[in-house]
Amino acid sequence: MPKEKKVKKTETENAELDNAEVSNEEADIEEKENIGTPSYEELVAINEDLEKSVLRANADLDNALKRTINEVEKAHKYGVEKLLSELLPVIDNLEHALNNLSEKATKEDKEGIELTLKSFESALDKFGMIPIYPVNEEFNPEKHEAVTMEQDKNKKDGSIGNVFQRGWELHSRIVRPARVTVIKN
Amino acid sequence: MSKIIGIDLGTTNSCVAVIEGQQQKVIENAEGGRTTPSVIAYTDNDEVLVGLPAKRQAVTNPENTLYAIKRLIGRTFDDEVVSKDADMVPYKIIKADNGDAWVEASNKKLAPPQVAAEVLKKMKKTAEDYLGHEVKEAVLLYRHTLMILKDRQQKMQVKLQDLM
Repeated sequence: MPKEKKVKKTETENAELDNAEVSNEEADIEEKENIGTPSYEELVAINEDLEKSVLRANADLDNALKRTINEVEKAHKYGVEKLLSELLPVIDNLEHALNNLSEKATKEDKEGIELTLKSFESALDKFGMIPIYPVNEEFNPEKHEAVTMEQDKNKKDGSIGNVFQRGWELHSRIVRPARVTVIKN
Repeated sequence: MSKIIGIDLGTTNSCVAVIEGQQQKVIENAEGGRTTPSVIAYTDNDEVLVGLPAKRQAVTNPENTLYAIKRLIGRTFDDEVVSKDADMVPYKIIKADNGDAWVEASNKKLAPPQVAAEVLKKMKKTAEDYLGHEVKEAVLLYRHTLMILKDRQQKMQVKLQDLM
């Protein structure tokens, strides 16, 4: 039975330790009482510190709240961005199809593609996707991407010559810039 | 108490993040991207473009569109890396009075840290827009420094001090 003995021993050890701690705590309390209550000035200082920290915590909370509201709003607004941007090539392809119809294609074929494209665009419009088609506009790097330079005496320097590919914006965020040529004479 | 932001100033892209709770959060810029191209453009009408807009107009304004500027920071004009860069990039790399490699854009002589600061400013602005208060302190990660000579490192630290 040596094991049991050992356990008993540790129990007594623990009890002793507890006693020691209790006496230590008592000593602490006595010491604090000896120091006495803090003076009025000290209390004011402590109070000031606390007030400051409360204000700071409040401001932090306020900011966090604002940020969260913002984030949720953004998530709602731009949540569809990825999906819509993946759908853009489909629109591009419809446009290409319209521009490169074979001679055999009938009027109905063309009309069919046109209507499909139109309904596609109106679907995107419902989510706030607006096309950027900057003909005769000034080049603006916020919305347009310059692919190459072009000479055209009839147009001003820095204006847009050709639009290679339409751009798209979603709630004023650019999903895809319009790919354009820029005039430099 | 304003938060401290962390910026990774990269050669091609840069990124900014804050600690929220126990976790880091990468902040999206105004264009919705989690990274911002480290491209800076000085336009004819004295505008400074940073990030995607600068990249989009690069074709129209190659001499004044600066990129990979980090490689020049703290290097002298005679440095091997600099002469290699000078052959490759469309903007002008010049020798400053103290022998350092500087760049020239819009007829202005610019120190590379000064140009890199434009990226840092944009990252700071991104963080401020997100946090809703002014940011005064930042931790700058500059991985490149780990691999380069100590004196270049010290030089760079001195130069970067006043940027933020």
